[in-house]
Amino acid sequence: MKSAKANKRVRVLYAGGLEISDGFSPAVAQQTLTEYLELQLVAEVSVTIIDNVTGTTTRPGLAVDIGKDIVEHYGDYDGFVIVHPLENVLPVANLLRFMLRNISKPIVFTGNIMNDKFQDIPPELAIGIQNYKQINLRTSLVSAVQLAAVDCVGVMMAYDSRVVRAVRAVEAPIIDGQLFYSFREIEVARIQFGIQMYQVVPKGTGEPIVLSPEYSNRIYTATLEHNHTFPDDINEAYDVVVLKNVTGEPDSQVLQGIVLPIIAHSRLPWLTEQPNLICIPNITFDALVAKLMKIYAEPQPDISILERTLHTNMVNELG
Amino acid sequence: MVFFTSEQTGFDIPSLMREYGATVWTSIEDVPSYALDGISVDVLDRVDGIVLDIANHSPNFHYLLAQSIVLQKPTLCLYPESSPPRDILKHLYRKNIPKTIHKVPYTESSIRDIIRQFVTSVQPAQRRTKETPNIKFTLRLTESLDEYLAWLSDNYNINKAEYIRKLIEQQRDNDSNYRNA
Repeated sequence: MKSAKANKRVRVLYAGGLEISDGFSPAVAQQTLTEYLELQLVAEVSVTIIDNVTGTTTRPGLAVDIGKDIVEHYGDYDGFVIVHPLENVLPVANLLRFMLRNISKPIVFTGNIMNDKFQDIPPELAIGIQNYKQINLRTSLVSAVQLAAVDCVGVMMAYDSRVVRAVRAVEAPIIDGQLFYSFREIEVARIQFGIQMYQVVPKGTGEPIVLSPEYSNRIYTATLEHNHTFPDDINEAYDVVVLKNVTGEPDSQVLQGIVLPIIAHSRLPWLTEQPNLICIPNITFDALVAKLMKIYAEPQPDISILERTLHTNMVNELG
Repeated sequence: MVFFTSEQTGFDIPSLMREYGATVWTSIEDVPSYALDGISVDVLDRVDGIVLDIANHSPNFHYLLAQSIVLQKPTLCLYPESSPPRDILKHLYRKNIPKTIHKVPYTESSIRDIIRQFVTSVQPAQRRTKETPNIKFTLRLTESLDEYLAWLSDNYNINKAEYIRKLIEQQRDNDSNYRNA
């Protein structure tokens, strides 16, 4: 019987998360990942090194680098896998999604599920943890390549057995026993003895994939805790303020002096009389920030237009 | 012992495995909730062994085989002796395929024995602990019995204690009263 390998081609882009004992080098990383994947039969795989970020050093520009590579090789591959540390992967994955139009293939983020916090471990546990990390990354890679070789579409997170779209992915509390849950929609798939698809595959538009790499970094985000102080130059240094985990209308005194649009990411909707405050409850925080980074790639004329844009789906991010 | 297989192959492999004492998962519906809890990449991590038919396989076969290689799970790769799948076997005979992957041709008459041998050869971690001889037992023997035991030990290249353990194991494995107790 013909191997699936002969039918599908998957491009693996390495952006970070691989631990190499003698220090990172692109050649060693490429060889290591190629070895990890050479025994899998699911698809023909090529490995390319894009960067080597950690969870704390990842950057929005990485989404541009990944997007450019995907567009350049789009016609040659059936799917794409991006290896990225678990920590801070959602901002990168969300921004990538908002940058790409007319996606008709799977783009799968995966990596080791043990994040950089697991660095200070006792020496007697170090080897065991190292082995566990290696096996975890290898199994994640096999799963992600499998997912990238099936008929699914979009940018998705496949770090554990639940596969969710990036723009609907929310970090779950560790007690839940899963890494992400899917905001207001069913998961794309579950990985259990293979891939079980849950979502209906949307039809592609037939249009060529397009990357819009422009974005703004002038987004100020904050969790409005007691005694939070905003920077003195906030109105000059930023284009918009995003408040996280807002449970009700913030005290107007706290926001005094801010003339920028203020977007309150809230679980529930509430009304406000403050002219520059918009409540947005039906989107994940990371998707909201990525959406604003794209919107503010160009100057925004009017807060009412901004509000209308925020309430309009760009990539099916609204729940 | 927990195994995963989704293969039918014309023989009811799950039933054959259960005859030899295996717990068999063939789909996610068979998996108990405790095995689904916790963060894991795949439930395959929870099984002790995997049985695959590499000639008449399910759609997820390539994925299952890849994961069994990574996880180094004892994996029985069956194929009909009369029609070996050469492409897949060529891959499975590569030098860096772990020894946990067993490639075994079967016929209608040999399938039962192959399954029995595989199931009984795989030991889950807890059973490995249970099978470690760490309980001290003092046995007094007559001189003649000791002489016989020494002769057996020399002729079969096995130490006396190990020989006695094996005798008891055989007795236990054939004792239907004990198995049904």
